[in-house]
Amino acid sequence: MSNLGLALAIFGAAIAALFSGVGSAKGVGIVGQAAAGVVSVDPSKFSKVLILQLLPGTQGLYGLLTAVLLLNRVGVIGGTPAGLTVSQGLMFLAAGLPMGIVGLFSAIAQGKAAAAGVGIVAKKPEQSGKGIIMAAMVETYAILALLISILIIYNIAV
Amino acid sequence: MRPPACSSGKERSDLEKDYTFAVARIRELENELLPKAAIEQMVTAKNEKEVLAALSSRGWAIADNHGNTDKLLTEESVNAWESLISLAPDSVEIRGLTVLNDFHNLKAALKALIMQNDPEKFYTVPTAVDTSQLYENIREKRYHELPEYLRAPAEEGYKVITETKDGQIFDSFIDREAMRTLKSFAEKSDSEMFGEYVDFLVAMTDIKIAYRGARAQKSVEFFLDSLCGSKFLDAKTLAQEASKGEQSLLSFLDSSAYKEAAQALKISVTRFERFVDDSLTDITEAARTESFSVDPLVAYYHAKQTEIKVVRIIMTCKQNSVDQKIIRERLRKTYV
Repeated sequence: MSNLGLALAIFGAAIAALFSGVGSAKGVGIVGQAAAGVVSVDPSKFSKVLILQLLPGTQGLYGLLTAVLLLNRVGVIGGTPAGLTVSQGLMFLAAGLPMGIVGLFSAIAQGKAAAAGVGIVAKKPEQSGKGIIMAAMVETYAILALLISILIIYNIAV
Repeated sequence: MRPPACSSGKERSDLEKDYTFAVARIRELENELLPKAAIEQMVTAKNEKEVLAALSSRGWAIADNHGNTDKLLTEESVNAWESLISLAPDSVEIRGLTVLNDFHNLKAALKALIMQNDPEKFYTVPTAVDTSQLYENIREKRYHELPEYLRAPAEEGYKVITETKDGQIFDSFIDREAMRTLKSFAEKSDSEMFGEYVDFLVAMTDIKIAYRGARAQKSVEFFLDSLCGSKFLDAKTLAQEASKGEQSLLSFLDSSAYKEAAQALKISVTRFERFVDDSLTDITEAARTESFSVDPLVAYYHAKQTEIKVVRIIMTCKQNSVDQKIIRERLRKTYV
C-alpha cells in the first residue's frame, strides 16, 4: 500500500488523457462525417471543413498536456517518483478530473457545433468564419478546465 | 423500374441511426435546387426552348434527354430518391416517401389485370416496387414478392375489384389503404416533422375525397369506406358532413383546424392543391435548422418534388402560351 498515493496520482493523469482523448475522437469523428458529406459533392470545400474538423481535437491535446504536467510533478517523468500519501494522491487524482470530464463533454459538444457549421460551409461558404467562431466558443470551457487542472497540479504540496 | 436496394435486415436502433454525413451531403445538394431567380427566368421565358435553356444552365441533363420533358423530370425525381435511399437505406421516413407511388402502381397493375392491358405507361416513379415484375407477381398471386405493406392490400384489392367490378369502390379502397400505410410509417418514425407532414397529407387527402364526393352526392357509406381520418379530422364526422352536401362540408371545415383549406376549396380545387403543396413546404421548413436528424432528407425530397412540379407547370403553360400572371398564380412555394 506504500505506493497507493502515487498510483492515485497516475490514475488522475490517465483520466485527464483518456476522457479528453475519447471526447476528441468522438468530436472529430462527428465533424468528419459531416465534412465528408460536403466534400463528396464539392471537393473544393475541403480546406474550409478541415478547420472545423480540427477544432474538437484540441481537448485531446489539453488532456495530454495535463497528464504530462501531472506525471512530471509527481516525478514519474524526468525525475524520481515522489513518495505520496494517499491524500496527496487523491489531490492529484482530483487535478486530473476537470480536464478529463470537461474535455470529454466539451469535445463532443464542439463536434456537434462544428458539424452544424459544416452545413454553413455547404450552403453559404462565404459565411464559414461564423461557423468556426460558434464552434470555437465551446473551447472556452475546455481551456478553463485545463487552467484549473494545472493550478491544482502546481499547488499541491509534495 | 427496378427499385434501389433497400436493407432487408433488422432495423437499426435510434442510437445507431446517424444522419450527420447524409445531412451535410443534402445541404450541398440543396445548392443545386432551382433558386427563385431561375424560376422567375423560366416564367419570363418566351417559349419552351428558353425554359429548357435555363434548366440546362443550372445543370439539368437536357441534352441527354433530347428535350423530352417527361423523361427529364422522371429522371430528376428518380435521381433524388436514389440519392436519399443510398444515404439512409434503413430510414422508415425515406421508405415512407414512396408509399403513395407504390399504391398507385399496385392500383395500375390490378386494373390492368382486369382490363387485360399493359400497365407500364400508368406506373409512376420513384417507387419501392419492382414494376418490371409487379404485374406478373399479382397475376400469379405471388404477393410475398411485394413489399410487406403491399401484400394484404394487393390480395384484398384483387378480391374487391373482381367481386364488385366497381372501379370507384376499388379506387377508394386502395387510396384508403395507402393513407393507412403512410400513417403506420409515420407512427414508426421518431421524426416529429415527418409525423406532422404525413398527418397533414392524410387530412388533405380526406378533405379532397370528401369534397369530390359531396359534389357527386355520395352516400355516407361511401365516405366511411373512403376516408382514413387524421389527428385533427375525424373520419366519421367528416363523412357525415360530406354526405349532407358541399355547403355543409365547407361550413364544417370552416370551423375546423383546416379553415384555410376550406377557403382555398371555395376558390377552386387548383387553389386547394396549391395550398396543400405550400403548407407541406411550410412544414418542412423546420428541417432547415436540423443537422443530425432525418428531417432534412425528407425536406429535400419534398423540395425536389415541388421543383419538378413547378417546372412541369411552367413547361405546360409555355406550350400553351399561358400568360405570365397566371403561371405565377399556379406556382408552388419552393424550399430554397
